[in-house]
Amino acid sequence: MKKFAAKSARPIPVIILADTSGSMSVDGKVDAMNQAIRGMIASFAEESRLNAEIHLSVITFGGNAETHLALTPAHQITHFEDFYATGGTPMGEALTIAKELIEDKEKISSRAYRPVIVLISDGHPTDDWEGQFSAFCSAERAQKATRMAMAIGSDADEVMMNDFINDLEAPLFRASNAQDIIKFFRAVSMSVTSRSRSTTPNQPVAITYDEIPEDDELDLDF
Amino acid sequence: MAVKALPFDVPDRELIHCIYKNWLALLGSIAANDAVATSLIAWGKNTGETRLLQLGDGAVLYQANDGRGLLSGRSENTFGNETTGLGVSRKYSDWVCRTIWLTKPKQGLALMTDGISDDLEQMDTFVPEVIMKMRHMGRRYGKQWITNELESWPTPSHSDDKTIALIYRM
Repeated sequence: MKKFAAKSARPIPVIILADTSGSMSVDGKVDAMNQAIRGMIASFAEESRLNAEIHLSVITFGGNAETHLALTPAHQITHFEDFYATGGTPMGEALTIAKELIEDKEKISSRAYRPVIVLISDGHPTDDWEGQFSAFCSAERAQKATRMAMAIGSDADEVMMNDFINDLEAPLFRASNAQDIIKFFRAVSMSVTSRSRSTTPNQPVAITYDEIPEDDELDLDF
Repeated sequence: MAVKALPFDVPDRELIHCIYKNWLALLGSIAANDAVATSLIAWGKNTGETRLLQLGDGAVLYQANDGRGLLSGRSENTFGNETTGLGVSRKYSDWVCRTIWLTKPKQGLALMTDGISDDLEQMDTFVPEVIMKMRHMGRRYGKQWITNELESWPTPSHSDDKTIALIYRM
């Protein structure tokens, strides 16, 4: 009987949609995002042998949208290439790439837990994002993904991003500096890893951004 | 009315309604949505005619007169742990029902919870191979073999609930 059993754990797919448009090059935003994603990969990799295996993909949108990191088990990611900020903000194109990934039953099988999509942006989309977002939300499988978002700075399209999120446990996070970006990724990592330890990994886990400690804060009890 | 009192040819809808009403009555003070239960049912006669019913996840695999089959696979458009069950479903259309015939030796079926079915690869050969293995074992040794197989399940991080029932002709 055992010979019929799958040899890999059920995956939780996590897809990062990262804004790499030109405006991300100022104030250390893109550098903070690179650093934060590396931290996230390390954090996910440590969790990969528990109740579920976390798989990560990164899709960037700056000038054009592309898959920067194909969906890979986090513990198998040995190299992550930094991305650079340039060009416009084709967020709609990135949503379409994410939708196609989720709809692809070879890449994300029905054994997988509900995917988590994390959108990060500091500006307004420069392409026809409405139609592509609508297609994403009506796609048979993509509509079931848990969607979280971080708006960076005051120029981010918060109306659009509030429409994007669908996880009541994780409201839109507003980042005003590079440290906030790292804090957000740490919160998302904690949420996903909590799910991977849970006996019900499809259930969302509440995120309380204020409780995420600063990177250099020591855990001292006084 | 008790389910056992129903005639074998009772229509699917009436059978399901009776099962559901009895389940709700047995819950007593427990709220139905605190006791959600997927259901896998096989009801056979000695002629080999066998009724299969399923609500929610898990799987019913069989090898019958008309070949090998799966009563209701998880839809490819769902993700792990998306399911329905008694206590959630209120629709007859959530159930899958079929009648099969098991009239020859080595024919049979397996009812299994999602803790097993979600990890299965090569589903089509599962039932015939397990029957071939089991038919040479006594009942007690067969149970022990199944228990050992489930307790040493090789899928990493596999989930909790592993229940299986096998019905087969010797």
